[in-house]
Amino acid sequence: MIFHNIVGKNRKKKESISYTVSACVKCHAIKKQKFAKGDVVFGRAKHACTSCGGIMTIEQIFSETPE
Amino acid sequence: MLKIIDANIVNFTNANIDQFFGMGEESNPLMMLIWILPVILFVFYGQRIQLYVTSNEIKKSIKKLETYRIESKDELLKHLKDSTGHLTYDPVDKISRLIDYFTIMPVDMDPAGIVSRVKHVIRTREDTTRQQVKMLLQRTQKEPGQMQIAQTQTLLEIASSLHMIHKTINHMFLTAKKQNNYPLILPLQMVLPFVMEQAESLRDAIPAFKDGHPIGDGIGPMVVGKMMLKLEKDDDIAPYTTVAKDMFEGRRLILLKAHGPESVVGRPADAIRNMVQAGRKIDVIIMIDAALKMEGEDSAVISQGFGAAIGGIGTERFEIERYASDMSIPVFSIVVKQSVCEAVTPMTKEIAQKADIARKQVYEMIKDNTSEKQTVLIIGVGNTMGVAQ
Repeated sequence: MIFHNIVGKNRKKKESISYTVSACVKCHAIKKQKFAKGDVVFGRAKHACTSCGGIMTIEQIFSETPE
Repeated sequence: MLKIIDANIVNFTNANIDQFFGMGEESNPLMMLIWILPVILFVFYGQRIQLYVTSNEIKKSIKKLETYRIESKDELLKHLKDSTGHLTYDPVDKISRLIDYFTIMPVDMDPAGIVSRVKHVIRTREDTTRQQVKMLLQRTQKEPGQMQIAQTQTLLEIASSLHMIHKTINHMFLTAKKQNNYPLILPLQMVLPFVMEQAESLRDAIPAFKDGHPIGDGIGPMVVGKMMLKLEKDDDIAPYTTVAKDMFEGRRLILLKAHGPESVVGRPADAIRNMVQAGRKIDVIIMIDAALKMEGEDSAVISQGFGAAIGGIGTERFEIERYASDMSIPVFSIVVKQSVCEAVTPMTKEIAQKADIARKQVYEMIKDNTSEKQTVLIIGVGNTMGVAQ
């Protein structure tokens, strides 16, 4: 227990990674990719839909800590 | 097996106290000294020893706070340099002065009418800082964008808060040390873990504000922002605030949030005042905000309740409550629970995924608490950085 506490305190905090989730307006395909500066929730995604070429809008931006 | 256990048990029944303390007939004066000296030492110097031990712990925290303070200032300067391309002037002196700005709160001996005076002081600080930031940016750009001004202002606020935290804690510590006063250091020791949590959250918030990443506090604007999509917006209702109108099952909806994607919280109380003055009738107010979770509570849990869900210094909440009570408007709120750190750092997946659920709850709340032809004001409260509408 003591060992666990000591090791736990010294363990480095895991870096979280930010993602942008966008959805296609036409075919509703979802794409998750790394967040890039300039991405805005409910804004237009920089890329087109890979399935139908339609416009994609950003639905969510969040950070996730890898397991 | 029983024998083995018996052999391992220590017999305490024949312990000799005198022998134990070295005070028996065959007592050893050296042993007596070994016991008595620490007792005397702790009686007379106990507080000083405690002060010394506690001081070392506090010193480490102060060192950390100093690092955060320097880091935040460096990040602000770096942000200025990055966003303006190149600087033809040295902003260090100006930034140092802005970081060191203080606010003198109004006298509260006669508390009547203090809210308007507090609001005036806070607004003056906000507006002046914004103007100063704009002027700093204008020295290299003709017209800096609202996004850039808001981002720089928020980074300046973070640097200023960390500067003030370090200064206050250092002052309390040095005063206690100077007076050699242990009781003075106790409240500092008690409050320090909470202060460190806040300071670490502010430090962790810097990358989010630099990149324009939505933060946990932005969940309210995220819920309302989606409801405003494709609607005509009016940005003149109040500074840094936007409003849109919609219909839902025979009810008139007025949707209000801070103007995104800038790092602003808007002025919902001013917006309500302008609506009331324009003669617009409001039947129900629903507020969506992030709320601090209690220890042991899960993060990203949605709760419903009554009253104005809005943080800050309290002037906005006071005014919303006043308008609501004067006109007998019921105020409902939906909050998404999160920690201090989660509220100011990049929005987590768990919180982001609750936006749709919270939105459904808003529509349910409208149906449950209003009838057709009534008007509902829905306010998405919080910092709307990285969240458009």
